[in-house]
Amino acid sequence: MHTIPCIDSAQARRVLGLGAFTVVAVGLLLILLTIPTPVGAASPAQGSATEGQTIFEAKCAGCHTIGGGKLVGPDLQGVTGLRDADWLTKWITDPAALVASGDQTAVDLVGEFGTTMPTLGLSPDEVASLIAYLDTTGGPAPSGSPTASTAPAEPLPPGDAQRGRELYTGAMRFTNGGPPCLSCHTIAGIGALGGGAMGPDHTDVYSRLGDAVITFPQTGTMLPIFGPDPLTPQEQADLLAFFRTAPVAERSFEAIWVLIGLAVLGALVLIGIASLVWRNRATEPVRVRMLRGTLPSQNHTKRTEG
Amino acid sequence: MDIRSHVSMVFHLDKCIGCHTCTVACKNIWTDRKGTEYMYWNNVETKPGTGYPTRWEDQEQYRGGWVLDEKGGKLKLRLQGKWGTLANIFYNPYLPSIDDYFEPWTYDYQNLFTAPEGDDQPTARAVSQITGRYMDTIEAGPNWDDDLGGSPVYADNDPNLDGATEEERRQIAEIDRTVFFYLPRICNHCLNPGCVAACPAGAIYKRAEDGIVLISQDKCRAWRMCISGCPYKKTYFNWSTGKSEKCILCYPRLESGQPPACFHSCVGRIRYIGLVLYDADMIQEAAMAPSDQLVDAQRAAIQDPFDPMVIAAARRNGIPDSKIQAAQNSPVYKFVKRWGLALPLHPDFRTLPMLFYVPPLGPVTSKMENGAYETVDAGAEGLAPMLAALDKSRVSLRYMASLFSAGNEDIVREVYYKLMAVRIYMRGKTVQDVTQAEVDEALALAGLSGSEAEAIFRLTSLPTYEERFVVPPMERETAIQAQFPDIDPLTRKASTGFGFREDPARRW
Ligand code: SF4
Ligand code: SF4
Repeated sequence: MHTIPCIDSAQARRVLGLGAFTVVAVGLLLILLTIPTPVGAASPAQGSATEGQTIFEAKCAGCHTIGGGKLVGPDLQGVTGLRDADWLTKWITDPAALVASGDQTAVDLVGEFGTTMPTLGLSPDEVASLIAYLDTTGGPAPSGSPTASTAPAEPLPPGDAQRGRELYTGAMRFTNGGPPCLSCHTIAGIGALGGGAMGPDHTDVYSRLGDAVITFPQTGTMLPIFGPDPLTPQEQADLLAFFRTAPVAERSFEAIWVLIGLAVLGALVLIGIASLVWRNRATEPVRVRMLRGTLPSQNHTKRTEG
Repeated sequence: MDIRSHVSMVFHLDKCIGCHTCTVACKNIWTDRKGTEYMYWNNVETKPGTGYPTRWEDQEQYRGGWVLDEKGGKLKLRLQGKWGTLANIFYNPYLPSIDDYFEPWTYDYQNLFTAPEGDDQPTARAVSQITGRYMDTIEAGPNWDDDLGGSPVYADNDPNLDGATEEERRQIAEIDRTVFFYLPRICNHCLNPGCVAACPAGAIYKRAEDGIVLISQDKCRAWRMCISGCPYKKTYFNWSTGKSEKCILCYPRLESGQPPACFHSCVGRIRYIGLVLYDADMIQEAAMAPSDQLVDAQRAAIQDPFDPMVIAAARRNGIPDSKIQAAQNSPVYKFVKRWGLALPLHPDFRTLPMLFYVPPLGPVTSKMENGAYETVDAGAEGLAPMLAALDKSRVSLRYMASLFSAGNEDIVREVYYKLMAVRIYMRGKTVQDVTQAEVDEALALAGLSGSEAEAIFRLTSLPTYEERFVVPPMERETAIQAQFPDIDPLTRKASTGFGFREDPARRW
């Protein structure tokens, strides 16, 4: 029996039919299990300190202070005295590339803060302005303080972890219409399926960043999303309460086995439905069946006796 | 009354010698491209036999054509309705496989020149035109059971024998009594085509001005529903281009005044082509007629081109006088309507095929006697033996009725009475061993006049090229303007005929 792609022999078609469902099921499984992480890119000149200040407030202040102590990243007071301008330019332009190049300072920073600085997508002029601004802030670099010690500038109202969870998963909408965290992030304790894979996993975010986590939305990726639709102080408080209480432990891997089980079961159900819906399909060429004598019309009892 | 014109065909089966010249002519012009190796837009089958693809008439397997929904009084595709199409869109379960056609092959001729010296003659082994690998066993071909060759399995499994008695089956297999005839087939360019109805992409259309059914190579999306939908299995899937293809009735030849290549090359001169006028308002009624009236209903839809009312209605629809005149000269009109000799193949599929066959008389009346092949001698004992032969014939009337009249034996019998009357009439004239009384009796039985018998004889046996092929002036420009008054017909001059102006993106 030979088959060609156009008019496949029926047997090949049946195999293909089963194959298609297996492929769909396995594909689904893979999508559920794969958690890719995106990477960005940017380019490196001249600038004014006032422009630099604007940039700092818009893009850096979420994670850095000048003279306010460590936040997500280090206190930047006196940073221009600590590192030369060339290194700073490279670092601000594309932190990931610098880390990848094996630069010792960069690698150490990542080691200390547990995360690389996001790529901000600044133009060479903007980078220069930013460095010019940092240069004006002067003063000696302050000694480090423990991460948890720093709190957001304005005191937040008391938060409700349950409401925070609902805001996180999208069960409750943000007042200003921002998308729920779940669409890009995941976190332990929100069910076996988890959330999105675009942004980092939030499971250990509170232990890493402390209360500062709630100012994190001011990074380059988050800003375009939440800049126009900011969180209200109450929402920030609720989320913070959720981050603090819910995800202390890592996500359990049992959930993944449950998922695999469900996927296999789902595939079986689909195959079952398919074989029921298409139970009349031709499974073998008519000619082959005719030569073997198994066509329905070859049932001689049906014929009129002569 | 909505009168339209249709290029229609008649095949006179008594004249077909089974030479396959038509098949070769078509193959060389249209299907010698990659992906079409297995296609035979024209093929010639031996009957009884299973044909190409195997048992194509078995709609229990292939689900082609239409069925009448007894309850709703509606005509439905046997294949599926809208929802069925949706459910099966990626997976049509009723396709014939390449095994049902045959795996096309060529030979490794090069080996004859390049084989190293050895003790044996080099051979040219068969090579599959699909996989490119050697084929050690060839199991099927486009005319595998030609002349009842191969094995008795094929004749015995002819779907038209499904209701046959054991006696009838034994007769066909018996040596010296065995009998067969040829059935050349092309697309019937049906009035109610199953292929068009089954296509989810709307890629198949019937040209309004001449009825030719075509598949748009741009719109075809390879769903392959037409292959199931056509009960004659006359659309084929090109695996190289990913498009379906079918007989185009050589419209480029027609448009330049020539008959289609298979007609032109036919050695037996069995083929006739001509225009008929039909009433489009009657299509639905004809397709839904009760089985035993299908042939009559289809004949009724074909209109008399001499009737002033029909002519007026044709003019109203923009049919030019040149075409009306062509319809009046049409040999098809004569065979199908005036004489009632030519019948549609399998009207029970309800697609209203516009290719008509004059059933063969030879296998019905001839026999082996004293070691010689004889036709029944009418002269010896009057008409009785000849007429009796009809019911004792080795290919039973039931078989012919299954092929040509949806099981209505009376219709086939009428045709045979006419065919025999013409023979008796001519025998009375030339051999003169039949009495005038017998001739008159035969003509009366057939309902023919002497001059009609003469005309039938003439168009059957001695037609000129111009009488067989009355190719109407196609007047595409008039037709385009009648349909699209705003379009300058000349803009269509360079548009795609058959094939691609741009290669399809996806190609194997
Ligand atoms: S015979 Fe031709 S027109 Fe009729 S259904 Fe088949 S492909 Fe269509
Ligand atoms: S060329 Fe004519 S005679 Fe020969 S097989 Fe074809 S239809 Fe019959």
